[in-house]
Amino acid sequence: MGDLLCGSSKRLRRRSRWADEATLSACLPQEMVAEILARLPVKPVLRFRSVCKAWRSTIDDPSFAGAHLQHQPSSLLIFPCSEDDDSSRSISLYRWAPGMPAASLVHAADMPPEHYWDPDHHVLAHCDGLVLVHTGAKVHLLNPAARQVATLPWSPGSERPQADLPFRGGHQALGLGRDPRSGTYKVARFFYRLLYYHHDDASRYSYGLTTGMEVLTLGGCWREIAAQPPFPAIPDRTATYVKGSLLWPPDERRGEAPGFLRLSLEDEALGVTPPPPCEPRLDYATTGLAELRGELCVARMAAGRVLEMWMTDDAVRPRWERRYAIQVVDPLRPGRPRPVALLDHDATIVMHDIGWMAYAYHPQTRGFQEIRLETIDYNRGDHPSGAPAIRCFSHFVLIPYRESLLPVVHKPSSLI
Amino acid sequence: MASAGSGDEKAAAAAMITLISSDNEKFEVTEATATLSQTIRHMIEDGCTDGGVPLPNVTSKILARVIEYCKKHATAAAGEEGSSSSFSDAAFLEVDRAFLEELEEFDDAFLEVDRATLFDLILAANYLDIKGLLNLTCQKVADSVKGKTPEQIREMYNIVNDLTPEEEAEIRRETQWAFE
Repeated sequence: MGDLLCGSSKRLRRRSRWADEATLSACLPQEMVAEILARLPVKPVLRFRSVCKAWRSTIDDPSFAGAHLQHQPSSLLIFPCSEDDDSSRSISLYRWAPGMPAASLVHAADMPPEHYWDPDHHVLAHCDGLVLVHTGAKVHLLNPAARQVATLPWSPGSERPQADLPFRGGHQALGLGRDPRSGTYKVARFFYRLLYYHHDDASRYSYGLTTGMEVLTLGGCWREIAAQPPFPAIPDRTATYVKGSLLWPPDERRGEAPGFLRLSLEDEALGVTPPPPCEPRLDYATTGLAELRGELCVARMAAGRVLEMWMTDDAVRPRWERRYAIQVVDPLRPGRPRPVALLDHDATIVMHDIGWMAYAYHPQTRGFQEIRLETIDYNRGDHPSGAPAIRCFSHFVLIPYRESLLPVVHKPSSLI
Repeated sequence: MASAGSGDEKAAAAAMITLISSDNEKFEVTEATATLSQTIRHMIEDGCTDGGVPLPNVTSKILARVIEYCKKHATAAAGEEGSSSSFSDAAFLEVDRAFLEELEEFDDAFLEVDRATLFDLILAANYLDIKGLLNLTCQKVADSVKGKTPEQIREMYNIVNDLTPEEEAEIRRETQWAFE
């Protein structure tokens, strides 16, 4: 039992020096075991469930996954997209952070996209070690570190309206986040749909375009929320999750919007988050939106190749602060770096530009370094997948990532 | 202003606290050093540190090491406060970086102890609620067990396997890849 592990949880008396290693080394109380296990990556934690009953129950305790997550280092997931025939149907996710010698494969599976992987199509979203993969036709939820995969159920909102839409591209925008009150994880979908109106003689009808929002709690099914979104979100952009809210940039092709579309995951209420007071008015389609260590960040290119980063710690009633103004010096590249993640060990902000280019920005030194994504060593390691190595990159998808033990299927025990 | 000197000057002007180990040894430390421990910080706030703070769970040998850690890191904390307002100044940045490197070296050397002492330090860090020290020591143990098999863990820590063969087989079946 756990008692053998800690001897008596008080301290043992020191006997001879020679007895130390054998007896005193065993003197570690069970709550300290949890502290140590929480600082291990997911793989050894799952292996150590078979050490003894006490370790297994520590790891299986519903509160342990949360404590474990707090101690995991932040990193990035990279999805190198390709137009090779054999690899364009599958999805390979690599874990990497600046300074790592190689990116390691954490997930590879056949997940064919509806069309091909489009650079404007945000296929991934991340929250607490869970990764949402949106192939257009289907939505998958992964925990790459624990090697778990679930496919979310179908819903009417996932179907692209059959009639011609008055715009190109997709009809939906997804988001993944945590309901701070219940501690459950939720996937939300904004969607366009057609409504048919029958005329009096019932032989003729016409249709109009409307929008909706539906929510799925992990393990449950889709529920459409009663309220209609006050304005549309840009299709195929995944939401940014910050402090219990999902935020989508608005689709302004059919009219101006007052801000970002917000869904509060606690009460599933829709709202608007006003944009930063920048001049000229924010162009949402080219704006970067990210969560950086609990703060919401809006990044946009201002005049003179200056990248402005506006931050706020309140996504509901934001008081925007223009935190950084970065001179992007390279005039040959007309890119628009978007912030992706803030890495906690050295506060580096990783940004992704169009295509193959990423940057590491160090706020303290104001250093701005290029990262060429195609030169990273994408190491397939001992991962058991049969997915082929990529020969020719088309573009890259980057999201923040942190390993966790959270299950992709909601465990009934933690419902209580 | 991250130099060690400025931290010491500040500390010299501060009030002193007496800590008493389980074997009755007395240690005089500055308030800045002592308040790295949240437990002691609360005692100071409640005004119950007159006549010394008895720490019946910590031996003098371990307390001496804990104080050594706190002294070093209290100086670091003071340095950070002083430098935050002028962080953009390149000269100060250099000092900061050098100091952070020095601190890292100190931490590495600090962890060069036998396993029993390391566990005693974890218990003391937990009891005294010193986040940095708890993190440092627990991470050291975590790093040392990361690549081990369950059998090696049981051997290292004298743990008896009380799982039934069926239970063990089930765990292996559920996550076979974690054992490879």
